[in-house]
Order: sequence, then C-alpha cells, then structure tokens
Amino acid sequence: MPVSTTWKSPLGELTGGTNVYQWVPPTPYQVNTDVLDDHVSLDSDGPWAGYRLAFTRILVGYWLLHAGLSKLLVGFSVQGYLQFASVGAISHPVMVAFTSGAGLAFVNSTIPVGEFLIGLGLVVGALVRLASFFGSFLMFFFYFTDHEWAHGFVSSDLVGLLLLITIAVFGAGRVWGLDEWLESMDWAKNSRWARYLLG
Amino acid sequence: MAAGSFLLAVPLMGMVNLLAGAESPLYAYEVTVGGETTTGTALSPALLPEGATIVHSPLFDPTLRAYVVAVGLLILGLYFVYRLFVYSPREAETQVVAPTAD
Repeated sequence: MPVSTTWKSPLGELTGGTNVYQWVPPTPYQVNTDVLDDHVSLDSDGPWAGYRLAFTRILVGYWLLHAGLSKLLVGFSVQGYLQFASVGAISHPVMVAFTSGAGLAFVNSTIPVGEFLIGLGLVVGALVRLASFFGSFLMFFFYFTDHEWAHGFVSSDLVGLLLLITIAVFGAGRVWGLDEWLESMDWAKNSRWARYLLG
Repeated sequence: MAAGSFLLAVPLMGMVNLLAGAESPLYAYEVTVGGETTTGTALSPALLPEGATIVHSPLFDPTLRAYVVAVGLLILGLYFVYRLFVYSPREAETQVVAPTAD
C-alpha cells in the first residue's frame, strides 16, 4: 500500500508517495482588515503581500527594539541633545521644557523603554496597532528634532513614520503574529477597542 | 489635505529646490578658521557659526517646509482622533430610527 506524505511550508505543500511528488503552491493570501471602521483589503495571487508585510513589521520592530535595548543597557540622557543640537528646529520651543527636572526624567525613561516595548510588540506581532501608533508618535518628534535634512527632507525618521503607518493600516500583526491569536478570542471579537489596538 | 500638504512640502518643493540649483535643502556655508576652510549646512542663517558665509541658499526656507510637513501630519493625527472618538461609519449605518406614529 503506497504511503503518502505531506510536508507543509510557507512556500507550499509537497505531497508525495513512492517516487512521485507533487508541489501545491500556497493558497492566496488576502489582507482583510478594518481601519477606524473603514474596510481595507489587499488581494494578491500569492502569499507574498502577507510575507512582505510581516517582514517589514519585524524589521521595523527590530530597529526600534535594538535602539531601545542599547539605550537601556548603555545608559541614555537626551539633555544635551535637546538643549543644543535641536536649536533651530521647529520643535525646539516644545523640547526646551524637557531639558531639566521632571520633563527630562520623563523623556530619559520613556524613550528607551518605549522604543524597547514598541519594538518588542512589533517583532512578536502583539498589539501592533497600539505599538505602531506610539512608534509614529516617537518618529514624529525625532523627525522634527533631528532635522537631518542636509541630504533631503526624506530621512530615516520619516521613512520609519510612514512604515509604521503602513504596518498599522494593513494590520501586519495578523501575519505570523500574536495578534492573529489574540483576535480569535471572544473578548476581542466583541470589543471595538480591540480592533483599534490589535492587528 | 494632509497628504497634499505632505506632498507639497517634501517632493514638490524639494524638486523645485533641486532644479533651482540647490545642493541641499538647508543653507550651505563656508567658514575659514586658521587658514582651513570647512563647509557645512545650517537650518537658518541665524544658526551659522561666527565668520561663516552663505555659499548657497535654498529656494524655500527649510523651516517653512518643516511647518508644512508638520501641519500635514497634525491634520492626519486630528482626523485619526476624530474617527476614533467621534465618528464611526459602522455605528452610523447601524443606528436604529424610532418608528413614527403614522
């Protein structure tokens, strides 16, 4: 009696028996999500859209995770930077409030911890929309405080901001992420806020 | 409107700036100290080091462009807050209208 075996992989299934093998391509992947109660979908003939989305999410997540973890391990103070390097930036009048006292302590603690948690959330795919929102918030201030525009207005901070918005809009946590499992729970299905935070 | 503001400030103004001969969106300067000349860029003429001379000025002030980008992003953020807390198309569609006495 011939024995049939199936190996499953992200690239498809390989089904075979004795000396006969057949490769079945993966089923098409469709991004199907709601963004602030508007339906958003992205069809593709293969799973590549989903993989690209997951890859982007993990890469951006690692970028922030590494930035936060290195600050936590080495030590970090933004005082000198906010006080002197950001002079002339349009965010400088706001940043001055964070150069001493409680404001400085707040920024010195939230930037490394925030980057670490946002990066971790993106890498594991949990609470991706929440993480992307706060990541975008950070990137907004980094972009206008860094003002590294000597080679053009499109800098890494702006590209990071746009990537985080993309990750949030298309619900990248649902591809190889914990949000897929979290969203299958009853409390998430019945909660409007869960749709805004997960994905 | 947010996207329009963004596209105006970054690619449109940037391309016009580039075609007008600007090497950088910022103010390019030269400063000679002890016989050695160094170059650099600054966000505005007020931030130039002492003794520096402006080599090239951008067509659009970088601070103006920054404000236009910031306005676009803030509009996007305000729209997000509006959709989050004020208006939900799904809830608007499912609102039940009370029957009249006719």
